[in-house]
Amino acid sequence: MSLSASIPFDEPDGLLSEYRTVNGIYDELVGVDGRNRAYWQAFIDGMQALPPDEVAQHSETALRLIRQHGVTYNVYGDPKGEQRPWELDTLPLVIPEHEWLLLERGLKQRATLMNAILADIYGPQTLIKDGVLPAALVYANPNFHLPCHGIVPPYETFLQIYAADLARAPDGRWWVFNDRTQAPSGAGYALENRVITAQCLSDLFRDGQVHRLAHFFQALRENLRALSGKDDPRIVLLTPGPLNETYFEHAFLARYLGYPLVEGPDLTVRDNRVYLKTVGGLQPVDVILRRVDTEWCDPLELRPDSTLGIAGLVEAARAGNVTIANALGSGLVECTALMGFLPGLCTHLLGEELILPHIATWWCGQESAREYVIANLDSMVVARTFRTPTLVSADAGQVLGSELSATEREALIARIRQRGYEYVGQEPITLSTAPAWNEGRLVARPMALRMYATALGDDYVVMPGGLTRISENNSTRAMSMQRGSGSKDTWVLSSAPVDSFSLLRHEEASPVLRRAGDDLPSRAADNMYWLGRYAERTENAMRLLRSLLTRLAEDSVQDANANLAVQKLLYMLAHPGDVYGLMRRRGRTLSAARIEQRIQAYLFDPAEPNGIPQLIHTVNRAAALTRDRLSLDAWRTLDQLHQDALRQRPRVWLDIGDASAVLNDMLRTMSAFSGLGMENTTRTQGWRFLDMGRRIERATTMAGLLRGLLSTGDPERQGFLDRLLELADSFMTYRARYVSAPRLVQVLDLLLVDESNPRSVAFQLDALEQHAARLPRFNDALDRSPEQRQILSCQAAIRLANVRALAHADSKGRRADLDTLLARVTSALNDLSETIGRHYFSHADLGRHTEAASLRRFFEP
Amino acid sequence: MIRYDVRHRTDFLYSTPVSISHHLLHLTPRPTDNQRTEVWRVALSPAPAVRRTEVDFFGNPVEHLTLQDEHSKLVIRARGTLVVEEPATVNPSETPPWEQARVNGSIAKDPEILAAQPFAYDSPMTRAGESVWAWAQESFAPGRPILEAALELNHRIHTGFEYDPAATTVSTPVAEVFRIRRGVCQDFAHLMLAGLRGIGLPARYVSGYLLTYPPPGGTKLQGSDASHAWVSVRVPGHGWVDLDPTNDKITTTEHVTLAWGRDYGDVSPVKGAIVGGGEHEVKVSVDVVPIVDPVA
Repeated sequence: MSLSASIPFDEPDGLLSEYRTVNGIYDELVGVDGRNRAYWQAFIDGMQALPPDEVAQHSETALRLIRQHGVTYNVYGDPKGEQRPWELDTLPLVIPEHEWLLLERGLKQRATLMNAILADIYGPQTLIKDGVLPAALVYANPNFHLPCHGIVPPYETFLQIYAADLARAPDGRWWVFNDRTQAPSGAGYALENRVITAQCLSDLFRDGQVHRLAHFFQALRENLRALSGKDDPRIVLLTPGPLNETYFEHAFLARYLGYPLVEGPDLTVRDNRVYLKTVGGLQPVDVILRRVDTEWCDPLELRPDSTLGIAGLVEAARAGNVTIANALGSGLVECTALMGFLPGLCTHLLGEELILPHIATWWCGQESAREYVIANLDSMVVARTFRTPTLVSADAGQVLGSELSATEREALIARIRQRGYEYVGQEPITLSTAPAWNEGRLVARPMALRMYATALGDDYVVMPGGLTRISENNSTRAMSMQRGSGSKDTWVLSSAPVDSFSLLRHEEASPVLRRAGDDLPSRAADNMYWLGRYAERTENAMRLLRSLLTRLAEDSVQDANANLAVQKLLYMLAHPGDVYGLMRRRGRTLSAARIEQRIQAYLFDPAEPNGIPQLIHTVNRAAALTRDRLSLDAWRTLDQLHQDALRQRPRVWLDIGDASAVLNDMLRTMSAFSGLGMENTTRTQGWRFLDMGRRIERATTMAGLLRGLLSTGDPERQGFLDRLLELADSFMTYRARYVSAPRLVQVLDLLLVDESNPRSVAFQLDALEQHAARLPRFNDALDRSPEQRQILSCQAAIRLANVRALAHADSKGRRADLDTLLARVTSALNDLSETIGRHYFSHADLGRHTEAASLRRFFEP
Repeated sequence: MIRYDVRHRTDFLYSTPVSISHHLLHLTPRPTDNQRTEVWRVALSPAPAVRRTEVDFFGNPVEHLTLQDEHSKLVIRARGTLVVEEPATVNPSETPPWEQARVNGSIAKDPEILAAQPFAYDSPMTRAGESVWAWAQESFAPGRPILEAALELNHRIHTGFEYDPAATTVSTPVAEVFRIRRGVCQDFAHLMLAGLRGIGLPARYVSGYLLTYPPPGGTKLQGSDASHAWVSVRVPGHGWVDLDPTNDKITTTEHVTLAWGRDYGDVSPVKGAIVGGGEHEVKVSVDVVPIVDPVA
């Protein structure tokens, strides 16, 4: 293709001044006459009317929102396993109403047709018996799963969600080049694109009569509810987990639709029914919206090495006790070779002509087609029949005949002759171009559109919009849609005003009232608990470092006692939880230079174990695992912290002011996270486990500090009491109560026994007691739970303790009572943590608890 | 004709208790052209909470079990009597050219060809690659009678590969078996299937038992018989003919059929997925004892 001459526009200096279309390629915006297509004009006029600096801000706003919303995708095979930020071009694709109506009809028909094919192949197979469909497209197809044969989903609807990839040919007609039926991805990204674009272009969006997307998702929800046959079914979204390329979307959709996001190990099959393992016990599951491919769904009957599935799921579906959307085995029709047979199948099954054309396809399993492909290899794209392209990565396994060397060509022809059914030939399709931002001006970029339909009753509802993807390079071949491509919102124009219904704001007509329930998945509870612990651990390390910086700033570290305190603080950073080591710590005096070097390392060195960068990374990882349960603000706060930490680099020399500023910023962010946890999170079980993690960590740390610094020696003289008050943020409280320099008895009272001080051990136990009383119960409700007993015995020991006696040292300077009490508290807290884990996280069984669940499989030898 | 008393016992012993386990059993013989079951029973200890008998896609009886009470041991005992007739004899040199049995890609309404379709393409455990196809092709010169060629392939496996239970496991890929030239009956069956399907011929995996004889002068040990596996190839005009590459022969009355499918994965006698269990140990014993009819 050659670039045509510049096409003149009305405004030579406008947004479109550098817009170039390509000869022979359809451009979405500009017609062959060089003028903007009429249906774009209102939008373009609106854009032109915006102040230039506002236009320039759109991309920045979008970037910021993508960051804030945490919109990402993962790239499989990326050595760093990195999450990439989603790429969004804020200029939407505009589709006029008359085109949309055709696409809508076409998509409905295609979804209905695909569903009818599935119902036949997984049922009577008359299409094969009557010779309408070659058996090889079924039996050689790795997406045909024998165990699923004979399973009839409710209303014989296999496809609850269908998607098609469309491209526009030079003549302006839309063509289908992929059908997606396994577990179509991208609808959530389309929605997120809409949320962000509508925010960037709010006026244009509001005035533009753009169809809203919410009705589509409402239909999806209504459909899944109807499938269950219940008014208030339990529906879960099954994800392969955070490493999946579209995990963000799974979490986003789960939250948007109001379904728990679960992984295979969260579910179990008993009595041929599927249950969700929750902190409140096993809860029956009616519908599974799956984003796990069929073959991974059941290690018993499908892929034996899968750890993503649920053993017994196929049999539960066979028994009709669970509905899976899309039905297991639906990936069968996601097969390019099928396209060649669709016109015949459409007439045969629906008695209609196929509305949407697809790219010309020759399946080499048939002799005439095979010879045609071989004879016309130079003008063909040859692909494997049963390949599966993913949402964001390259469509692997395709070659362009004209680009093959003579040897490659011979080898390919030989293979096609031997196993023709494994190959298809297709005409190379060209993509249309659409306007996209580039350096503040609009340029024409190749694009493709993914559209979605969801079943509702006997029909399908089509999303009035979709996921538009644009290519970064100028090649208009469909196969060049590679990783790194950007995306766009898709605006379908309406000739009538649209209602602004949104699922994000409204609930359905007769809302079901739900309070904090017991259906928190055990695994999620586990992750929340550890997020709480790690967040507290990180905050604690920051306080230790701040205390160290203060010592440096006071330039008092040469004093023997102050130096010992510094040594102990550094030891705590290096060995969190090692109380014995802390008690015995009596090293050689550390030089100020050495102290500075250690602080630098803990503060900035990503390789330092237990350093701040690693701790923040751990917190972030825990947060990523519980992402669907955190408030958006809480997630943003932690993400911000992570970004800030990533930017830090070890300094040439430590500037105490600079380091203090960094630390104070981080501590403020951590406090914001804690505050959000307190203020903006409903008291769900998830929050409860997060807070229990925090409390247990805080109580353990405080007990360890008290024991490590106070159970021997003369802490008053050594200055440890000041450090303790500082670390516990309790200086002000102390000053308000006492005028004297800190005394041991008073400090012990404040940090150990005082239930009104939010940093004291007693305060944490008090909070834990209240949590424990509200946890789901497995035994007789009149009894105290094991957790409550453990907490109570700890509380009693502290309440009964005589603080003066605790503070009393024997002739060798030992405080045996204090040591014993704190040892007991620490060990009770460890037991409590284990008990909670056993009761609520492993959950292999109710009442009886075996070791953490693991799924294995054996064969008879 | 031989009447058999068959016992097949499988013991699973777990080092720590299993909280829940799901199993799939192909332990009840299907009827075949030359085999009929008289009585058959599968007994389980402990008794499962869920037990359902069905017929699978290939017509094999299959049982689904769920044990959802904690258990440290599972014993599955299958026992029954059946009658095996001599399979119909086919003269290999009079069978049609092998090309006639190929089905790849064709649209056909012939019920016999349709029935062969599920067995014509690679299945999960028979994906091998071009070297295996080329190796199989050596026995299939153009126009050669199919059974003659298939028997040669059968023979080449028997002579070219060593029976070695230590060399492979159930998950060893067939390409690896081809490379190391060692394996057990299951591996040889998969290899032969890979070769036959690679050149377009439908072939089935057959799971069953083989009657074994005591060493000369010795007595047969209890439980010394074995689960066995072989291959069935479609011979146009004659139906399916069973070939045993491990023993280099067409099957006889010494072969008792349990089930057939595309590969081991479709019909393994006992499959399971368990939660918990720690280490586990499996003990299998099979007795295939001919019943001497006192009247005859």
